[in-house]
Amino acid sequence: MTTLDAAPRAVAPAESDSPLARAAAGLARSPKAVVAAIVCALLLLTALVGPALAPQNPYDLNVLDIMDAKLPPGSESMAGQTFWLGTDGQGRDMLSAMIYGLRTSLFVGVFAGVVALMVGSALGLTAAFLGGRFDTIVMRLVDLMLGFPTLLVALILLALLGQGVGKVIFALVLVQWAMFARAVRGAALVEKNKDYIEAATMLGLSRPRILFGHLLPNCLSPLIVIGTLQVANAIAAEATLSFLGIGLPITQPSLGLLIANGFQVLLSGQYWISVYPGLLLLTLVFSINIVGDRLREVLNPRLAER
Amino acid sequence: MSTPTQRLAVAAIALVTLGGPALAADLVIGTATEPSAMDPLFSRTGPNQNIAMQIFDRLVQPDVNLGMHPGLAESWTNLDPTTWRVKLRADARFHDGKPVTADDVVFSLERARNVPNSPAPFSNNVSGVTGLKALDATTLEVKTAEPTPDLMERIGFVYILERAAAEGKSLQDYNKGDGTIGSGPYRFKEWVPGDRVVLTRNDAYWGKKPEFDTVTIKFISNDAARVAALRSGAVDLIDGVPPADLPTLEKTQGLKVHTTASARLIYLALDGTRDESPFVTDLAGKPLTPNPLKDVRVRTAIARMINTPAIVDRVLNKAGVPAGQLVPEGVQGHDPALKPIAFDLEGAKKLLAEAGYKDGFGLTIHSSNDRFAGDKDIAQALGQMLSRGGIKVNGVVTQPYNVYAGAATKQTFSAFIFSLGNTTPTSGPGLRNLFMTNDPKAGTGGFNRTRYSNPAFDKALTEALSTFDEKQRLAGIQAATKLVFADMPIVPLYWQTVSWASKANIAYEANMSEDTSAALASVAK
Repeated sequence: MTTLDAAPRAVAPAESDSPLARAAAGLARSPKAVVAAIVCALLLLTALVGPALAPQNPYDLNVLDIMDAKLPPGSESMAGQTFWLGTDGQGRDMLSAMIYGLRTSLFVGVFAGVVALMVGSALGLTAAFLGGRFDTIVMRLVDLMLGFPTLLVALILLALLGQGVGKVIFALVLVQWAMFARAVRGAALVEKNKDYIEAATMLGLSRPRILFGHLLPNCLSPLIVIGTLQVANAIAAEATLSFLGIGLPITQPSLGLLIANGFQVLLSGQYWISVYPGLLLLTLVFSINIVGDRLREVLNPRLAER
Repeated sequence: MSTPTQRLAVAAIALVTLGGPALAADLVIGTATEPSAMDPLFSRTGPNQNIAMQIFDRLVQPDVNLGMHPGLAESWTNLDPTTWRVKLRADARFHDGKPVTADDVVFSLERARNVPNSPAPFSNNVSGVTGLKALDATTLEVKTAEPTPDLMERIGFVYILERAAAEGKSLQDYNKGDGTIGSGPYRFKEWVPGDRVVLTRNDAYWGKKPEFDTVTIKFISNDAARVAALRSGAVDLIDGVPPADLPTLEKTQGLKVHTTASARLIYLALDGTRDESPFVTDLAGKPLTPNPLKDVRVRTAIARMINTPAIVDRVLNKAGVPAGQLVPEGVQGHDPALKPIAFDLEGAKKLLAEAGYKDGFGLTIHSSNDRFAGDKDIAQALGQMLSRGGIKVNGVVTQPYNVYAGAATKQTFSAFIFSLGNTTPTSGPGLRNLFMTNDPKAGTGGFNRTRYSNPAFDKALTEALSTFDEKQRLAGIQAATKLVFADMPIVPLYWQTVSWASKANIAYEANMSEDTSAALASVAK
């Protein structure tokens, strides 16, 4: 183990050694992470072109038929369509429902993660740079947010706000920004006393420019790591909320809601309604987490490989 | 070859298994719904009555087929059309040892008139009563404003409290057990909200001796968790068995399923009275006036779009009977001529076009998601069917019953799924509550959430209900039923088939009123 002092550090923003480039290079060196990244990419692609791929639009009540409900995988519908993964209690093709559910889950997870990242890092950076009362207020707020269990806050919020994609994203951002704020502030506190910031200040650059042009790029490493993991967390949290019945509307099931619907009949032999979406959710969160873990190894100087 | 230890173990297992039934002095029930209060007169919803009926007695006792038998009232006679004399049994004692007197009955019936903040008051049960007098300790005289032949069907179902213990008590007092003193088979011990109610045996009960020392009623709202609790042995008896689980439970050794057709009607209520309805829109999603649901042709069209046999078959695993009126065969007032509305998509579209909505209109369907088996699935299935029938379904929204019921009563929705449990021998009280003009003062239309109002129906039913001749009365009720369903203020969907499941050593009386009560359970012989 090298000591912290001896660890190589970026002194100024340098194009050749940007965190993104290091991340990509580090990722490529681990076969496990490469596989996970490919899985992530494939799932993302599936979600993007989903509607073209899915045999049925499961959100259109008009094409569903309860006469096709709860058919096991491989069955044929009245209209002659084959349900490769079976149907749920409403006669939805599970394969289509999962593709659409994946879209929803990924959209909610990525969107909530990115917004939380932006809000959190802006607040964290400003707090570290300004210090004083603003810093105290923001960090106590962060402590307060982190003190509450994430799901509890989200549950209360959604109980007050009602159902809907926008509301779920709002709730997730509200419970996640604090993680980003704390991590960015920590990194920024170390960076802000370095010479290049002093130099920038001497040059008379504006505060926003110093903050976002100089300080932020050097705090990216923890952000990338936490960002990746938080996207996975957001997906899992959305699934949990939907499972508990207060996330998204029942006519537009996400992966969590599909699992919840199937969970009720899991013991009565209709395993496919719950198991397949469960596996998909597991694969998604698992592969994002592997990529995130690898990024942490690569980007954290203390864990970095020589 | 077996070692002594192994033999001992086998013997021990045998002893435990065989000894099971004999030791079943306690009963643990896993129930789907939690009551909202321990005051028996706070709300007449099923979850509340399930607890109340174990602690308190009523003047009459229903049997499993909705027949009416003497309860605290030993007999009753009609002196003149508006005067009744009710004789109480002398051997009934409250849990604190005091006898049940006519004065306690007067107190309870008076109290039923006005319980503050009650979401589903018992006031309908006593609305026509103008005079209550305790003639002596066990004789009660009741005066009514109108001739009321079905008086006992009304006042008979009010829970009887002890005046000395209950007078002036608040909702919180009852919840803690202060005033929660009845004369029923079990005594109230404690209520831990969100978790359980605990009852203990009332050794001095006048009726059939209660079988269990302690009864613990656990609230397990999640269907799968409730079934799992029974399978794992954590509870002895569960109610609300999900239809999908019936086949496997029936096959499971050591478990028994108790099933009966219920008189609970599941229906789709349509807001057909207001000029503008909150969840009716035009095709662009803007509010639509006049409200198309006001047109009986539109309501009938919606009824024809719904394939109830398919819902019963696919969503409910056959646990239901398609309905065309309020009560099923076997309950008096049922009219064999009123068949379930036939599924007829073409006919529905034609009717819609006739009413001027050839391209349909927008509608959101609301439902509870935890009140009865499959409620949220049925809401979605209705969404499919209405959408096929040419209506633009803007959404299907489901909410927990505790939120939903209050909102529905306040006319928040346009098309919403609700249910009505019939617990009386005739359909009279149900018709009166569901369809008569909503008039809190007169005590009619208490559950009339669509605010349907038809003077001809009101008159026909009132006349029928004040007819003493039984044959004429039932004919009158049937005629009124015909009148109301020609107007289709609600679309009757189906009557539930309900199931309980228990360990094999517990017997349970499956009943049409869907009661879950320790008094209906016993150790299997």
